[in-house]
Amino acid sequence: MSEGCCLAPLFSALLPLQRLVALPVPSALKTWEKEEALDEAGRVRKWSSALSECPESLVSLCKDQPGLFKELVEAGVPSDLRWEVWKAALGGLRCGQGGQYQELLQRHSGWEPLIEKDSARTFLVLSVDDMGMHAHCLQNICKAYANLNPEIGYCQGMNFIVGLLLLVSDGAEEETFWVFAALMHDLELSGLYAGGFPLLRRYMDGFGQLIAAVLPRHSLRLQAEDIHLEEFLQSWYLSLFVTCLPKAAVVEVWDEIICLSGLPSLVPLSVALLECVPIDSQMRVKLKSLNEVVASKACAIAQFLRRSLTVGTLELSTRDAEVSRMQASPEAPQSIWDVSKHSTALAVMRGAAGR
Amino acid sequence: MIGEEDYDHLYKLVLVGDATVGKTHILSRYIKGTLPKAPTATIGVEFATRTVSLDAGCAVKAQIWDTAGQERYRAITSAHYRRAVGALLVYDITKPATFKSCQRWMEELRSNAEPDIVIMLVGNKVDLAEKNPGDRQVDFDAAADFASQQGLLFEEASAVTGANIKLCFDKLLKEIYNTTQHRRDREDDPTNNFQLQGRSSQTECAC
Repeated sequence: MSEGCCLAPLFSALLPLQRLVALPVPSALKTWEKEEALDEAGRVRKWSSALSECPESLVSLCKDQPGLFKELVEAGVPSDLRWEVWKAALGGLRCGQGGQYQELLQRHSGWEPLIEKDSARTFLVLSVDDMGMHAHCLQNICKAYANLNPEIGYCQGMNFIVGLLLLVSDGAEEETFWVFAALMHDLELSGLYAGGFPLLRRYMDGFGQLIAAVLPRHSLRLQAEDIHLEEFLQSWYLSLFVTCLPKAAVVEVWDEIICLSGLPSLVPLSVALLECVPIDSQMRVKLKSLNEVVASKACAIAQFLRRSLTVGTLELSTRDAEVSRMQASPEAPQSIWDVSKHSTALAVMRGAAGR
Repeated sequence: MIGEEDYDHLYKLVLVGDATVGKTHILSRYIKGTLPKAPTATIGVEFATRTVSLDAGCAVKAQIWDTAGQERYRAITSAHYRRAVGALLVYDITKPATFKSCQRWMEELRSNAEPDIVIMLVGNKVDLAEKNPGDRQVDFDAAADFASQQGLLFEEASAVTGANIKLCFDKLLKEIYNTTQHRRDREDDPTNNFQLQGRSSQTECAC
């Protein structure tokens, strides 16, 4: 598989930005876009034709033909099909036992006041005008989840995940709840919000190591400007980019995370995003308003591609060091560079076999 | 107006208090003069700076860390208290629980930040009580008593109207200046500790 192809999902994460702002696309990329990344109509045709040959549902296509599923996702997921594709990628919808959602809704968890406060303001960030429409669903889903998993309860940041899911599901409350529950459990998203934020710390450490190695100039400048990774990374990760990228880009990043490479790809994705930020005295401001940065730099797209590949290469070299560190300290938390997760992310980065 | 990088002292400040008391609103009002366009929960920490000149003419750059209020986030935000020389400890005058939490926030600040951290207690959302006096749930006097017992500065303010917001920061920065100046003087003149401590803080802000 060619390099261009293997990086398609990462590249596609930025394509919507170009479409949104009608940027001039560098000519080499234009060709690539025509060949590999389809427009909406092209995506619909590709998926329709695949589904017509596969009389079973999307769920079985995902399960029985992972190679084809991966190829389809890399070509781009049509907006109208996205919700079904995400559900399929999560192994189909598991709706719990009859009435379980309703039952979860009835219980009190103590999180209600904070959830209510957050639900009203979530959709402002998502630039949804009619926020009343989904705010009530968002409240219900967060309340029910706090009861489903009292250990995690509610953590600010989850509201953005549920909010974006509701926009993609077009307000299908109960389905959104079960998809959210699957993300939290199967994709281990709950680790990002657990007490002490174990997964967040691990990813932030991974990000720090990666940029020191692959983006040394960025890394040094961040230090020189006294910019702490926490200032931007915590909200990038805990909102899965909802608070920092346009919706159209966020859903494509989520396609990658949900359908292909899982949560660890947050790390290389964020390293690639950092590279889009120019190294200057305005870094701090620009890290806060990535929309403008990414949209105003068409050349960043090419850097994005190159860097993603480098990141994949680096992961291999850091892994050995990490493994020996872990062996020396058996109590240490599982690293993001642990073999199983690491190899999944890496496989996608390099265009090898999917999961 | 002074240049952002033209300053004599850099002070690290933190904004703490329960979730939804208005910390981010206060910061936005102070830094930008407006409220956030899309108000939302702060995730982790946010950061802003503003350079101001104190009465006596010296310029200080305030490096302000706005922290998430949700209890769980303290695991990652309290690391930012380190080396903080000042704090705005915010509660909501319409929510007694947020005032009650101030004791705990204060203890946490004092054990994690600089030992002589200057804390400004801020009762936010006075605009609500002005509109509807019944909304006030924390008495001014009760908060003022608490502040004086604990050695905190105290103001009531409103990020929504802007009332007293700049004043809170100005008073805090001035007090930090005086405190750190005090310490600098002591350090500069180790043989003369006690005389210097007796000086009035009002006369010390003179660069």
